[in-house]
Amino acid sequence: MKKKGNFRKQIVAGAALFIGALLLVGLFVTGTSKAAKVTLSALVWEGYTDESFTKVFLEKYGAEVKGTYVGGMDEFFAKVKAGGAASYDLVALSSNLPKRMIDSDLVQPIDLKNVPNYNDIFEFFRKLDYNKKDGQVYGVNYTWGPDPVTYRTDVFTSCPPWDIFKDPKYKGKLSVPGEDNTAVFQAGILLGTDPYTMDKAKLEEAKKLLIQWRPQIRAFWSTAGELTNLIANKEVVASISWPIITLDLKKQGIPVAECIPDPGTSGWIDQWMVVKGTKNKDMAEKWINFAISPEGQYAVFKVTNYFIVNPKAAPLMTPDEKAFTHIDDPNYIVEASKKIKWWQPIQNEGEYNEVRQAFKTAK
Amino acid sequence: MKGRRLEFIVLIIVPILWITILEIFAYSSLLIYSFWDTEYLTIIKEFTLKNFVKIFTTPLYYGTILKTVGIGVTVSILALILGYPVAFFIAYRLKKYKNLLLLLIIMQLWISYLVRAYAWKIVLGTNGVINQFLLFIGVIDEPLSILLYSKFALILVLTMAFIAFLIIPVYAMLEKIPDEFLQASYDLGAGRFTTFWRVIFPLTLPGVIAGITSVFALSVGDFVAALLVGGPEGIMIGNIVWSLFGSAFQWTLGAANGLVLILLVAFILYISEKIAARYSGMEI
Repeated sequence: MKKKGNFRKQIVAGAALFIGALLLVGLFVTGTSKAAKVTLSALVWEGYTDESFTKVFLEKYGAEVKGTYVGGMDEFFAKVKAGGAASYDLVALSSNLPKRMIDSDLVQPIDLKNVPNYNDIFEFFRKLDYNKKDGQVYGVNYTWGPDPVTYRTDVFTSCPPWDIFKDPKYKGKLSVPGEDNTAVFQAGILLGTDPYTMDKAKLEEAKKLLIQWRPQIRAFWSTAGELTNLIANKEVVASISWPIITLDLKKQGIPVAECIPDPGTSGWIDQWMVVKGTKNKDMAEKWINFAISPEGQYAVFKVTNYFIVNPKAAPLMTPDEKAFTHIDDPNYIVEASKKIKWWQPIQNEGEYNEVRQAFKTAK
Repeated sequence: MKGRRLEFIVLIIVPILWITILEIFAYSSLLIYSFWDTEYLTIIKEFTLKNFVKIFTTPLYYGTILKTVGIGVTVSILALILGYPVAFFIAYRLKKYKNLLLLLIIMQLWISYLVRAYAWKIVLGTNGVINQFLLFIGVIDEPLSILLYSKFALILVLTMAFIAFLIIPVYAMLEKIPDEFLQASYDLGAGRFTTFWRVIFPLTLPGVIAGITSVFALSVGDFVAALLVGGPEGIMIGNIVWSLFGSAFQWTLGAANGLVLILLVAFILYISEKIAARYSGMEI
């Protein structure tokens, strides 16, 4: 009997210890976050909170920027919807999502008085309307670029046509992104239709085309790092990719090049947005102003090789970099828009996803 | 008396919180969502069977669920074929290194599953260890691509990831069998094979079933291995559920897919428990 009592006491002591430990952890977490300087949490595409420039921001403004890189477009909406301002202060996402973020009341208008550099970015971007609502700016453009084809130059001597994706010669040698609908958009472009407003019938055609691609797909990639490995290890010889991937491969000494095969490709214009309810709105706007400053723009270009939006970054660039980014030519983005179909919000996203999944799971 | 009551409250509060938050709340919201509908950005909170109709009429969903169950069954059988002999070997053939080998088997569970899956990429890749070796000894002329980004890779990685969950319960059952049983079997004229098949194996059945069940449930719910090494052939229902909860904002359809999978797994667990109960009379 006595023994049983002791045993019970031990359990109670254990439970009390457990609860005590939980409380302690809670105190510790809230305590330290109060003690520290402002920390901005950002949910971003790979490279957008690279240490090379968050360090500079920390020195200048005393705020740390902690970025979480997404594995795919799908994660932005899901994670902000689930976590909100408790998890993130800022997001940096692509042109298909701002409308959805605004409609879902997940982001808030940006006070342009705190973002004076906004006036310096190309007029083309300031005129875009998808990231504005009722005359208020919700998204400040940051970078842009195509979804090019990256290919190994020891396999292809020049830009491969889109037809390689149908060519059995490249069976199990190619790749496309698997966690977003880029491949479905591309099928739409090749079918000569607007890739973002396809109805059921058009999507069915797109699916048929993609199923012809399927045997050639070695793996579907989700992060830039993953495709970089696939190409570096020769698992894959060509893929729909991003400029940051080509750059990383070149840095590793892998023989690669990128191009936009005719008739064109999809592309993206990325922007910073401020999550609704954040306690750090002022600091978040300071960060955005820094991100589109000449210094911030040049820094993100160095990390990602993406095209940037502020022509005032030109004096920082080498002649080669200027030529590559066409930073001196405000008309270049207008011309590029003829060959690149910018990602746009999709009404029937569920149907697009089904085509993508059918493509992925086809035999 | 007062002390007793406090004791009782403290004792009860942790499990109650645990059960309400992690079990009841989570599962009931899954259940409720699966009977709702989504339109663009709003969840329409009205009862509908639409999601289930879609799942059972679209090959993408029912096909992938069936494929996932197939993969789970394959992985469980492989784990049994490979894991049982290991457990047997540790229980009967080892003395000095018994604990060391057990520790090694348990130790792999200490290493993040993600790291282990990545390690397989290095082993199986086009420029991986196996391909390089086969090229070196001249068995093949060019790297085998079947090794990675295939169903083969997926099944291999899942089997290796979860095999410890079979080895450990089987080993525990083997350890419990008294030597006298084996002696009696030999004395009555049974050979090694008959002794194994008529005495040892039936006595380990509860362990086998517990092991297979764990391996099956773990592999059916997995999506990481599918993402890392499965390639186009290796997409599982977990991957589809994941993407439905993404920007598509098809939470209701995702919840319904999850529910169908949970019910299917629960059914299989129920059957295996029935089988286990039939043999429980043989408990030592």
